[in-house]
Amino acid sequence: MWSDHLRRIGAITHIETLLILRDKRSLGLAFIIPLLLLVLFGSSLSYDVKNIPLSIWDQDRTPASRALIAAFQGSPYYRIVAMREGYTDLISDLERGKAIVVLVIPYDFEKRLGRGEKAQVQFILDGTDSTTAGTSLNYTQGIMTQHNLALQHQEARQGLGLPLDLAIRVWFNPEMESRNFIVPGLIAVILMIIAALLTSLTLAREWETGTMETLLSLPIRPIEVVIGKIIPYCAIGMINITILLLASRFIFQIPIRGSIPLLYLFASVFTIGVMGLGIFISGVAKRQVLATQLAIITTLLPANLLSGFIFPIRNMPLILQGVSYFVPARYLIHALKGIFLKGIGISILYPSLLLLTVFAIFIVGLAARQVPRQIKEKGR
Amino acid sequence: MEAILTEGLTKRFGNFVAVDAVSFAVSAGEVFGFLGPNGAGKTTTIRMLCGILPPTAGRALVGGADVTTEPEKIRNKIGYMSQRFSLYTDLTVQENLTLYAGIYGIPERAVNKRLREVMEMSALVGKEGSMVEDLPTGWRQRLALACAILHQPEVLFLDEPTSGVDPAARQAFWELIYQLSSQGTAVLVSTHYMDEAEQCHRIGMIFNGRLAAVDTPTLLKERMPGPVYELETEDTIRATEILRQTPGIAEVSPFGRRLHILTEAEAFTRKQIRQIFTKARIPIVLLEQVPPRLEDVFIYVAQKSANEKNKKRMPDL
Amino acid sequence: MKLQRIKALLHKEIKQALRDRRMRIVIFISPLIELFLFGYAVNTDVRDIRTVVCDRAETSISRGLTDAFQASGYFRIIQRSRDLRAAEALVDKGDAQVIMVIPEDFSRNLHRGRVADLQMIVEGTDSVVAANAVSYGNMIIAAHLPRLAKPPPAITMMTTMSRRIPQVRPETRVWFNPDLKSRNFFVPGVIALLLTSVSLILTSFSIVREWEVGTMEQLIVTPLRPIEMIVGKTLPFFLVGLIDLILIFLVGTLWFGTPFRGNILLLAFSAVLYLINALSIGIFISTISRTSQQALMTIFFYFMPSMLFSGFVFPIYNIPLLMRWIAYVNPLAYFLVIIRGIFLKGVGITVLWPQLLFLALAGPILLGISVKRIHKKLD
Repeated sequence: MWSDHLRRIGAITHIETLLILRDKRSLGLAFIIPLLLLVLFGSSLSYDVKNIPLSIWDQDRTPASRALIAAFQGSPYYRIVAMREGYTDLISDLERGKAIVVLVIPYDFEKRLGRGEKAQVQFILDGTDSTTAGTSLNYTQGIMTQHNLALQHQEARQGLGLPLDLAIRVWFNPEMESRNFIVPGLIAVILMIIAALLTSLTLAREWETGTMETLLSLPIRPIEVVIGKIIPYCAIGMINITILLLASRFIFQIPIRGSIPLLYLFASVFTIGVMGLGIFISGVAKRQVLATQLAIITTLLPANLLSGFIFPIRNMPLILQGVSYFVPARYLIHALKGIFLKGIGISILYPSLLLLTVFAIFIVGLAARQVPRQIKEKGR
Repeated sequence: MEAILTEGLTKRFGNFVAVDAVSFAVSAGEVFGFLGPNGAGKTTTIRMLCGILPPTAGRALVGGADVTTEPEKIRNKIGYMSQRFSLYTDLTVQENLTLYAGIYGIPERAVNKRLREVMEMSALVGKEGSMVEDLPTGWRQRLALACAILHQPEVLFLDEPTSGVDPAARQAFWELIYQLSSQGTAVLVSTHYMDEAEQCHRIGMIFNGRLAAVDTPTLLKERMPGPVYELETEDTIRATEILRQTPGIAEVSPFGRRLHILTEAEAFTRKQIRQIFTKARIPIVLLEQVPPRLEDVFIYVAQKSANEKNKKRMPDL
Repeated sequence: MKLQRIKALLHKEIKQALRDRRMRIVIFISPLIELFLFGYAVNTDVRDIRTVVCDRAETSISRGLTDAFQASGYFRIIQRSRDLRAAEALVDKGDAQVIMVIPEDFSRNLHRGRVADLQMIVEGTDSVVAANAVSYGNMIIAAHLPRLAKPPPAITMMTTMSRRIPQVRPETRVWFNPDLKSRNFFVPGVIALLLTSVSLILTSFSIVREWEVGTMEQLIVTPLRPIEMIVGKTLPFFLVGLIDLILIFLVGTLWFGTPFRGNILLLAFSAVLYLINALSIGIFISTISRTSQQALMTIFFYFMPSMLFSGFVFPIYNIPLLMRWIAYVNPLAYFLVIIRGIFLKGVGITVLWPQLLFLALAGPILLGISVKRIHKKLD
């Protein structure tokens, strides 16, 4: 009995594998795209914003003003792109996007400081990109506070120390490299994208080219069809997982503090689930162009936006927080981050694993229901 | 001026020669049948004649336009029905026809009238609003033909138009073909069916990319070198083996439960066959000479062509 | 080029696309879904950092400092305990992001004019939060400093003296997006994203499908010219793109309150320029793909780097010089500058002409390349 099931599943796997191998470009891209994304993202894209373009109008031109400018020059967070004269040029820089921050040092800067008064400088920030604008605000504050303290050190004759010493200990990610933070989440998102790309056209393709009818006439159960189709794509997924792990370990030097077999386990269960989801979508859509659109809305966007990959879930409105519980990528990201960065094990992670497993079983079942056993009467 | 004229038309895909120096002509109003096994080069030849596949060598004129230098001019003069159904299953009959009417430039005020004419000819009246995907094969083929003749082309190319269609529908289809040919359209049909080939004015037999024989059905049959015998025995398999090894017998082919024996020379008699069977101790139930059928000619030429495959010259019948 | 043929093809395309009710829904609803997802889910503003306070001093001063943290809105104190290990467990579980440890001798040290230690343990896996926690912490403490100096006379003296110490006060103004709503940053971006995906997916699938299903064979035998086919197959999706633009524009400004300070005509014009670019790429991809699967993979192979290196989420100036060239040849990057400029900065042609020029030049070039390829494929 069992061997019959396996034989039929094997037959479907065989055909699907042949089709995959015949389409060399898609196969190649199935391996290239994940690696490409990981490398591009990891090497070039970062939340540690540096080199923020800064334009300055120094009305004072004294040692004091130059000291302030030096503080910004020395900071890796800013890159001085122009020294301007006059508001018009500064505003033009902001409008054209040549500068994101503009600093105006008034003409009586040094004089006021010499008198022990507060000297005012003006910053104008381009708030369009609110993320980096907010970070830039923080940097500015930080640089200004430091500069102030430096000034106070010079003035305080009694060698007054700082009344407060803020010692920061950063756990888990001591260098606070956002890359360490991004890559585990990125791997989850990449796996989701590839799964959606590979499987979301499968059944729709069969409908459009007419081979679904042949499938109907075979003595094969729908669940066997789905499992048979998933197997070769999961193999591709496993290879991708390995490539991504190797790349993150050796190209990006991200340490894996936890158990690697656990990583694989999570990634595999996840992959089975999202590939089942892809097959489900392809069956519902019945047309390839529709399947693509549906896949984007239901898998790619939520994986990127609602999984906690980039945007913290707790900041979202409650409805979306609720929806995020249904996004499988969320659980994988949580697990991957934990295993990579904290080295936590199955004793803490088992709920996520359980959820992912339940999801996989459930969605594969749903996908099976999309494989028809009979030609339905057309009602249009 | 011939409707179709080809001289040494050749198509090579890399090292593979799909069409090898094919030369023939078709006149206006003539129904020309292309007969040949799968992969013989029929579809490739048709595609070249439609101007959608550039030939590797040789020349062809369709409606007076050269396929190599003036493919655009050809498109207005021809209608094409491909082997695989290539109309839109997610549109209705009417919508498909309207699309092609527009593409072939039928003037707006004349469209409705022409659509009605064509639908009457193809017996599609009443099905205007049906989704093509709901239509059975026979109706689909009629629609494909309808779309191909909207603009009253000079030449019609039909690539296995009746495959998968029941005999009654096939006959109706051929009546339509005759109607078109009587109106002056040259029709080039490729087919598997012998009974259809019989209905063509002339037939061209293609094997391995070469045109092995071109003539009217009657004349082709007369070209058989020797008599054709129909045989019924108890042991068909052994009989076939023995006969095939006998010199003077070109080919033995199954014919229902019986066998057709195609002989090479006039002199091969029934007595000789009886002798062979007595020696082999196979009882004969029935043995008589029959007039050669087109199928017999086809098999004979096929076998000859297979033997000649490595030689450069064409077999002479 | 004959209009009649194009019209016939257009009719067919529109019927095919709109006949399927689900296609209709998807074409017009997915922009809204994307808009709502981006509008509500996307939020890079960091607030309510979950904090555990280990107050070992438990004086009014330490409690005052703790309250200052809570009052700032940046930190949310979820628990107070004396036990550091319990606090660490909370961080492990993910319930807390920051631990603030105030040692026993905190107030004593302050009174005596000595340096008082305050320890902030930040969970660094989310480094956006971590960085912000650190700088917010600094800010709050710096603001709280004067208040700490109140009661004992020794410190009052310090305070008085410190008033004579020079200080630089920054006055900061934020332009274009004063509330720093990240939503305002992303909504114009969604327009760009949608125009791109519609052009790429709908157009290339439409062409590739005809090859896949076999109907192309019938089309190429007809007098239909390649350029006519391109027009017939891209025009409907061009219109879909414009409809999506209007849809997002209306919902974005009316529902989300995204400001629109620029010129609507310029917006339309630049959208048209960009669409020419994107549609050409879609056509090109269709000429190099035999199946829909290939088209899909190729689209993503182009689309993902294009999106990542466009300034959509990550600023271009932050990309290492080596890879930055990708952004410089990316039409999406230029369009994003234009669209954000029009929406948020209210600038016009005088400022945006370099970007507009790029799109205006790149579009026809891409279109020309793609049309040539279609010619080759159809012959």
